[in-house]
Formats: sequence, structure tokens, C-alpha cells
Amino acid sequence: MVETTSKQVANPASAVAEAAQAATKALQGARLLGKLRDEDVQIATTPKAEVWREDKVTLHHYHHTGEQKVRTPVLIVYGLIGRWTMADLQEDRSLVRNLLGLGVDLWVVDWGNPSRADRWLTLDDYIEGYLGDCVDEIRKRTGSEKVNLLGICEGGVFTTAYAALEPERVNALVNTITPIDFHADTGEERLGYGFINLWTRNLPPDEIDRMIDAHGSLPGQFMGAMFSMMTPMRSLLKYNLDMLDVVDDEKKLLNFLRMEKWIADRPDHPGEAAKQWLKDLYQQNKLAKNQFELGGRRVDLRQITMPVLNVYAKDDHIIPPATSRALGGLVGTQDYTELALPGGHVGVFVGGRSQKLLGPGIAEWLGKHE
Amino acid sequence: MSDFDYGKALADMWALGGKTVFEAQQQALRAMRESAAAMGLPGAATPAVAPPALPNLAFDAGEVTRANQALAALWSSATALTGTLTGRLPKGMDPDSTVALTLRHMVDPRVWLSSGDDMEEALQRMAQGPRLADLWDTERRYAKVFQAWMTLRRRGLEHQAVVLEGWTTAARRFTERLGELAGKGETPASQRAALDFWIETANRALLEMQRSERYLASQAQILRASTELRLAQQEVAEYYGQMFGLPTRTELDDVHKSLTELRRELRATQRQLRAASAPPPAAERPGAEVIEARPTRRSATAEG
Repeated sequence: MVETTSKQVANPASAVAEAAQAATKALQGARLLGKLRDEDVQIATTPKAEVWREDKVTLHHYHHTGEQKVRTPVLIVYGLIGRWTMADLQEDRSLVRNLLGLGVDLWVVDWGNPSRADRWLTLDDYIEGYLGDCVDEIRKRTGSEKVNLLGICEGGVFTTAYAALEPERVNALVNTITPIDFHADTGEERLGYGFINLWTRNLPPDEIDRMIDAHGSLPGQFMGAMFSMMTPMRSLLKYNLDMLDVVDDEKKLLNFLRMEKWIADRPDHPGEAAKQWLKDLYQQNKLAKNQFELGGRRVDLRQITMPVLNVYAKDDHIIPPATSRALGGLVGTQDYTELALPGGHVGVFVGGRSQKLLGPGIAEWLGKHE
Repeated sequence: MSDFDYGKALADMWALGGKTVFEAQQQALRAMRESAAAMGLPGAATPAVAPPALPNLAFDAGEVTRANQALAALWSSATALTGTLTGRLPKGMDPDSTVALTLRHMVDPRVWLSSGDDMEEALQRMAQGPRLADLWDTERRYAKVFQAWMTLRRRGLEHQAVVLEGWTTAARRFTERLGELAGKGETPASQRAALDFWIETANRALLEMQRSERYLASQAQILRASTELRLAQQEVAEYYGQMFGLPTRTELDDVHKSLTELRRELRATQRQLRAASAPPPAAERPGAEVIEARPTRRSATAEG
């Protein structure tokens, strides 16, 4: 709704003041930007150690900061679109720090930077291969028979599939902003929600193959452009209006720039895995139909018999809530809990409001499922 | 330069560009045929007819010109609408202020056209591999690249026309809503309020446009054209690679495929060895608390 005033009382003086205020902000912002350097904009700074490496994949263990209350190790699994650093963007907006502070033994897998040389890697390689090896490594190092998996977005699909295939190794499954039923967006009537679902379904499967064969991957910048298209005006205004709003406030400007740094780090998605992601899941919805196959084994979600916490963002336009919530009706466990958080896809992790909700919500739930 | 002049200049540039490219191509084809005839190659001595295997570039150049004309017509109406729109915005502030400039910028159709730039640039960058232009050694391959480039340009222009229509819809809605306010004796309280009002209106119109069949179809066509250009470029690169004894993309892909398969087998073997040699880790941990699973399905909300 537009804020209006009567024509009779329109005040040119206030308009001049508004202009002067904007000009002052821009000037202060220019000074601030002038003194900032790249090293001032750090993300993912929580201390951790690399404990295992295979090909380009690395496993890291976070340093404990206090009493360990959740003893079963928790492995954070992000997808191949973007990077896990979103979970540790900055000190006061970090799921990682929040979980560590609540006594969680925390690990994270980094998929590295796949290049054209990795075009033949499949989701089978990532889920049963690398993720499976990470789980085994954690089990070996901790002596724990099982691990807790914390999947984020596409990483949630990885954890879900792994939990269905290897339920005896998973103590509890926590999914966040994870698509399961890739066609459930059709039931949501909200404009701007699920555009990637619609866009991908619109492409003939052989053209997806041809595009990925031509490039050897699903280029990260391509997915970045897709995300920009989903919030068209926001994307257009980001570097003038949005930035103008924060440019004279060092703290807010650094928050803005850290976010930009995370967005800029968008690795290419290995080609064969991208074909599976786009065709098997987005187009054919095989995961929700229990028809998805990895390494010759069918992923049957009814085999997920461990406790499940499903976290979704109520205003997630990238992964519409219905696509996530479908998990509840498909898993084999009766111990299924949903945590609905305010905000959008990324806001759930980096938003100010979420900091008191997401980490504590997960830690408390995990504590009850030791 | 006024919006009208700018629009006209841009349309002229596109039209001229299309014409120049078309003429250059005709010259290139003519030169190729004459060169082949001079070398006495079989089937090359009929300059009035292009070699049958070469793509029909003249047809594509005409399509680009038609796409140019369609966009120019839309551009003309869009720039006229912008003039009306700008006149309706709140008065009474320095026209050079940041907010005023931003506002003017946002109702300018040029911004809308470039709003697709993210995607188009991404596609272009993806498509533009090595630039190879040795026309005389790679006639057919190069012509195929050129045709693919022409198709991509045409699809780009067609897509821009769809985007411009979306902008026109947004601008119309905005002027109508401003008109409704004016009818009630009201106006946006500030430049910023007017800008927010425009953002809300335009965002909705653009999202609606993005879900339209026309938009999705034209996006898919750009993607297809971009892929074909990339593949045509790779074909030229493969040709050069083979000529100079360099490893080609296809050969590297083969090597990488073998390497991936070997690693996959190695991982599987290592996993089997681990499973065979090591007992499962002990489940007991000192102090571990056992909690019985509760067979309940619950739903929590953070809004509480």
C-alpha cells in the first residue's frame, strides 16, 4: 500500500530534505567503501580443522567451545549450488556458532570447486561415495555408531537419500529448506514462488542434456542468474537503493558485503549430477515417488525410520514450503517434527530474527534424540 | 540525449548492425566461393549458388532484422509511456538528487531491457569460448558458428521484446494507480514512497510476465541458441586441435570419464576393505543417555 499525502499539503521543503539526506548518506558511504578492503569482509571464520580429504572434497571438524551436550556428531551437508559458508556468514549470524555454543559436536563437508574435469561425477558419487565416506570417517574418529545429518537445500536431498539407503548409520535427520516433492509448487498460489520448478519443467529433457554436455557442468553463474530473476526488482535495485540504505553504517554495510561475498562464491555443478538434479528430480519428481536410484539402489523414503526434524522457511520462494513439507507424508518414521520459521530461503540462516530460533530449535530437538 | 532520441538511435544501431552483418556475410560467402574457384576446387565454380552444405545465413539475417523492427516498435511506445509516467511523479525536489535519479532510472525501459542481462550475459559468457576466425580453413564450421551467433542474437531480441511488453504493462498499471490516487486528491507522500510504490507494482508485473508461456518459451529458445553456439564453437576448436596435434575437448572428456570411473571403483573397493577389516564402532559411550523413541508426529512453529 502506498504511503500518500493530500496534494494540498505536499511539501517541497521535505522533498529537498529527503534529497539532502540521501546525498549525505551516499557521500558517507563512498568514504566508508573507500577505506574497506577485501580482508575486512570475512565469512566462515569459526575455527575448524580439516580432518579428511578425497579428490576435491574435504571434511572439517569445528573446535569445541564448551560443554558437549549433543554427543552424537552432527554433519552439516550443503548442496552443490552455493556453499555451506551461508551457515557461518558472520559471528552474530551463524548457525555454526549457535550450535557450537549449545554444545553440539559439529562437522561440515565442503565439496570444493568442481571443474569441467568433474563433469562425470554423479549424485551417486556425492551421496553414497563422498558423503558415505565422510560419515564413515566421523564414525571412525568419534567411535560413534551413528551420526546426525543436517542437510541444507540440495544437501538436504543428499542427507535424505543417504538416510534412506543407510538408515543404520543415521541417528537423526535434520533437513532445512529442502525440496522433496519437486512438483508440490503447483499447489502454491503465491506469485514468484517456485519459478525454478516451473522453468525447469518447461525445458525438454534432451535440451538439458545438450546444454550440460556443451558446458560440462551447470555453471554457477547460470544458477546465480536464475536466483536474480526470482526477485526481479530486488535484484535490479540491490546496488543502488538497497546499498544506499546501508552504505553509511559500517556494520550494516559489512553485513551487506559479506552476503555479496557468499553469493559470489557459486561453484559449477558437476554435469552428470546436474542432469540427475534437473531431470530425475525437478522434472520427473522421482524422489517423492520412491523411484530415484543411486548406484543401482532405489531410494525408498519409507526406509527413513530414524527421527526427522524438517525445518522450512514460510516465505521461501526458491524452495516453496509445500515442496519441503511433503517429506512428512513419505518417511517411515512416526517421530517426525516440523519447524516453521519466518523469513525466506537465505534469511532463515542469516536473518537477525532466525538466530534465536534455528540453532536453538535444532539443538534442543537433537538433545531429545540422543 | 532524450529518451526518444536514445530509443531511435538504439533501434537504428540494431537495424544497421543487422544490415552490416548481413552484407559482410554476403561478401564473405562471395569471397569464399571465388577463392575456391580460383583454387580449382571441384563444385566451386558456380558463384551464383552457395555451396549446399553451407547454412542459409541470408534467411537468418532477415529474421534478425524483423526481430529488430518488432522491438523498435515496442521501444517507441515504451519510451512515449515513460514520458507520461515521469510527468506524473511527485514534484518539488532537486531533479538531480539520488532518489530522484533512481526513480527516473527505474521507470526507464532501458533498465528493464537490461534486467535480462544477468541471464543473457551468463548465457553469452557460457557460449563465447575461443574466438576463432580463420575463415579460409574452416568455412563450414565457421559459417555454422556465425549462423548460431545470428540465431542467438535474434532470440535475444525476441526475448527483449517480451520483457519490454512486461515493462509496458507495469508502467500502465503504475500510471493507472497514480491516477486513482490523484482522483482522490492524493499523491505519494515522498519520492521514496513513489519509488516503493513503483517497485511493488513493477515486481508483480515482472513476476507475472516470467510465468507466461511466451516468456518461458523465449527463455528456452535463448538457452537452446546459446547451447548451439557453444557446440559450434567447440567444433571449430576440435578442428584446430586435431590440425595442430593438441588434445581436444572430446579427448579430455574421455580421460576425465575414465579417471572418474577409476576413482569410483577405488572408493568402492576401499569401502569393501574397510567393512571387511574393521568391526563396527562400539555403540557404548560413557555417560550416554538412552531415550526411548516417542511414536508421535508433531508440528512446531517458531511464531509460537
